[in-house]
Amino acid sequence: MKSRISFFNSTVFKKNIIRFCPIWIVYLVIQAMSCFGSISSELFTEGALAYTVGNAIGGMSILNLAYGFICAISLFGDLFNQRLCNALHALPLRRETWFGTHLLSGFLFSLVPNLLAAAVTAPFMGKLWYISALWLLGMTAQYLFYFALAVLCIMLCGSKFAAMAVYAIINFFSQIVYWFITMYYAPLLPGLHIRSTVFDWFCPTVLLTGNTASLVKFREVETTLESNFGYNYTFHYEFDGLGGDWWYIAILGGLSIVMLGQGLVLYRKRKLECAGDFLAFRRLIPFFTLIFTLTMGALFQILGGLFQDSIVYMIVGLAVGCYASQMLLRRTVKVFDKKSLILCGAIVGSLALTLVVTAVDPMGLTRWTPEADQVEAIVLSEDYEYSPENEELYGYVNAMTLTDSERIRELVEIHGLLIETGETGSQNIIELFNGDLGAVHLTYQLKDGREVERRYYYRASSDAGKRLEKFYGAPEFVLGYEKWDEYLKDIWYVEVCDLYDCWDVTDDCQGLLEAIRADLELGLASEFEGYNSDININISREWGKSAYLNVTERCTNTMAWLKENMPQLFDSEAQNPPKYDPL
Amino acid sequence: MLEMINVTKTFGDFAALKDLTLKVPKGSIYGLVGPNGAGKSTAIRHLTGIYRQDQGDVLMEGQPIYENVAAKRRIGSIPDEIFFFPSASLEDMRSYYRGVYPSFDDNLFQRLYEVFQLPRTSPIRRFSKGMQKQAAFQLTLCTRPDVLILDEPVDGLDPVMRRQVWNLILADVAQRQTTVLISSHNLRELEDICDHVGIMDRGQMLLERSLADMQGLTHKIQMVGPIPEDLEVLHQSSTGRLQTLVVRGTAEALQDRLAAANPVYFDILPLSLEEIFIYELGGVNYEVKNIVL
Repeated sequence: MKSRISFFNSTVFKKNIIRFCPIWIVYLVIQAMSCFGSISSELFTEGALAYTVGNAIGGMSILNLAYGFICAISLFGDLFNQRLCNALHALPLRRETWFGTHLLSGFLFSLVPNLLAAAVTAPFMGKLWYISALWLLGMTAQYLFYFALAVLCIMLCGSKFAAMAVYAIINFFSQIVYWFITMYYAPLLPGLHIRSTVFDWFCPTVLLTGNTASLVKFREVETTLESNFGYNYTFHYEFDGLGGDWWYIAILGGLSIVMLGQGLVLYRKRKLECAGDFLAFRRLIPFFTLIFTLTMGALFQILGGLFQDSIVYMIVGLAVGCYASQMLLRRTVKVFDKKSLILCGAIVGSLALTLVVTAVDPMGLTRWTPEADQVEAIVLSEDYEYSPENEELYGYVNAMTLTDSERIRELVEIHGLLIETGETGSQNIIELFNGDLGAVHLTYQLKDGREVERRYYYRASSDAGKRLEKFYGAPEFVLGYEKWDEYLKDIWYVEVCDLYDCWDVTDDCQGLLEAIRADLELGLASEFEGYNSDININISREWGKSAYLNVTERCTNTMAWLKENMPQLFDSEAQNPPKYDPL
Repeated sequence: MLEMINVTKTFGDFAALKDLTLKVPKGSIYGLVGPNGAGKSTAIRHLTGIYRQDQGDVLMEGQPIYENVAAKRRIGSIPDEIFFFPSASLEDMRSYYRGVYPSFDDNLFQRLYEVFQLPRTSPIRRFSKGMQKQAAFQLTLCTRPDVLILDEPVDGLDPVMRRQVWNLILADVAQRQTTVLISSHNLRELEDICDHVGIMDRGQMLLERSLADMQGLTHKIQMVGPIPEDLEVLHQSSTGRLQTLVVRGTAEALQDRLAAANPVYFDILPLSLEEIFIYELGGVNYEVKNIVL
């Protein structure tokens, strides 16, 4: 009388399909409607459809985030109902059978509608039909990840609300940590670069939705399409290779298998009587208390920050989070006792201690500058958000790599000056727009192979600011060129704009470009000075190499050309335009 | 043989079962009784393979029940709180049970429609509590279980249907030698059908015997005169000179001891299960208190 392990039961499977058909049918209808919407669009072309579908793969993570949880909670939600849970587990089925069958059902809830959607759209994509297959692959891997994570959360919890809260916290935990660090720790560490991308890797929803081109790349082919309204559009794309995030999708797929395995282990260990409790395993209580409290602290700070920037919101949030976690765990509002007070005090105290340690900076991270002879190269950017990833994504002109020892030495000195003057860390947006505040991002490539990043704000009037102007005015920094003749060859168009209008001067831009070059070489123009500029020149080149130059009175050569050739810029109100007032 | 051996189960800090040992002989009808909170339902959830014990063994014919499909297929159970899938009809549930229990008897299911006369396609959740109980019986009996575990089985049924259900259970026992464990507070009904009884209190087995032994080992004595010192008295009361005692011992042994004490008058009377229950639990400080409201 021994039982064999089975991972599937056809009766349970059929029941799942029928019982939860409203869920997957609604999902199917959504997919069908989106397919129909794309195909029936007046802007439809094969390439445009492929482009839309290909770029939608990452964005679909939001849909999968919700749908994965809905499917998991529907299939495994019986565990939260004591009566139903007992009734079902009295039946002669092993937990492996329940788990395996629910898993297959949940997988098909996504796969079948997605497969149909892919099958319907593929023929309309012509030779790019495989974009549909890629979409299906991406969708399936993402769904599997979210579904597996939801199953894991369900196994950890005893109620639907708890499962939802834990699912949300786990999904966005890295972002919560990032908020916490940027809000409280980063201001205490001026100059240190805390890159959000590291945290985004741990949050698939943010990472995948943030960059549509990360999975499928397209090349735009100019094809004119006439719409019913008489406007002409250019909507045609060709496949330009796979993006780099497919490995990330593969990791998500692999992780989902690990999580499902862990989910089964937890299901086997789970005591059914925990139905109705907040957490299914008592050992998780300290982790939940801490994470929930920190989450509430961060949320209160973010919400409170909309009105006033104050640490009081965080402290209130921590207290609310601590007591609320106790209420949820004990399932009563009578938690205002000595035990909770001590717990709350311990969490706030620990947090305060870490803030003090960060402010003291015992490792001297904020005071670090390299020796000039340790440095192989420095990448200089005036964009506070500069990063190699952003450069690849958006393209940057205003960044240059310095390798000659003299300029490296000077920049290292400026770095020391920035730390010495202690003006770093200010992020006053009004000052930024009024032109006295600038940003500098330094990426040191050291000779020992390390790469160290520092970023600061500074005042233009400071010694460091005056010395940085020389770097920011360099032609290769502003225009991103090394050989002027080659630079001119690749220009698509040039336009000059004031606050009200833009003029295309592509056909007659030679003189203007020469004037700009002259100003740059004389050090009369720089990106920094342009913050309060009224005239801008947009030099459009291939992706990532365009320049957006701000013209001030100091740019004498450029101004002279503009006054001679474009008097309209100086005739109107543009002579005395209203200053930007952010308030 | 269905048995629990030294089973302990705790819910947080609360010990629901403490070293519980319970043995249901094969082919017997076993009545599990006890006050509210004694742990009867928890014990039943172990016997039906829902809960996993913290310590001890829960066995059916020597094999563990928990996560044992072969053992659980031979157990049919009706819990105190019945639950069906939302919006499922009796026919839906029949399909479900048929897929889960290979031994499901469709012919019997059809025949039981005539007995219970329940709607076939209406959602069971619309049934009255009694009708839901009947539906549970109809489904469970058709799984043709070797062991039937019933928690308050006739609670909510009208007198006719109660009799009908008892008859069905007894017929099943007679035909198939089904082992039945029944938990109920209706001791008069249990006394009519059970041949073994276990009395639980605070997670422990207080007393477990065949009903004949239990009734043969506890008696009520009415007497006038001195009470013999060596009697194991569970309860004592008096009306004038007439004393009423509930004592442990066989009728023959008590007869000899009382005769030796030479009282003015004595009579030995049998006890009902309800009286045994009340007097046994009175010995462990669970008794009817005279509270003036």
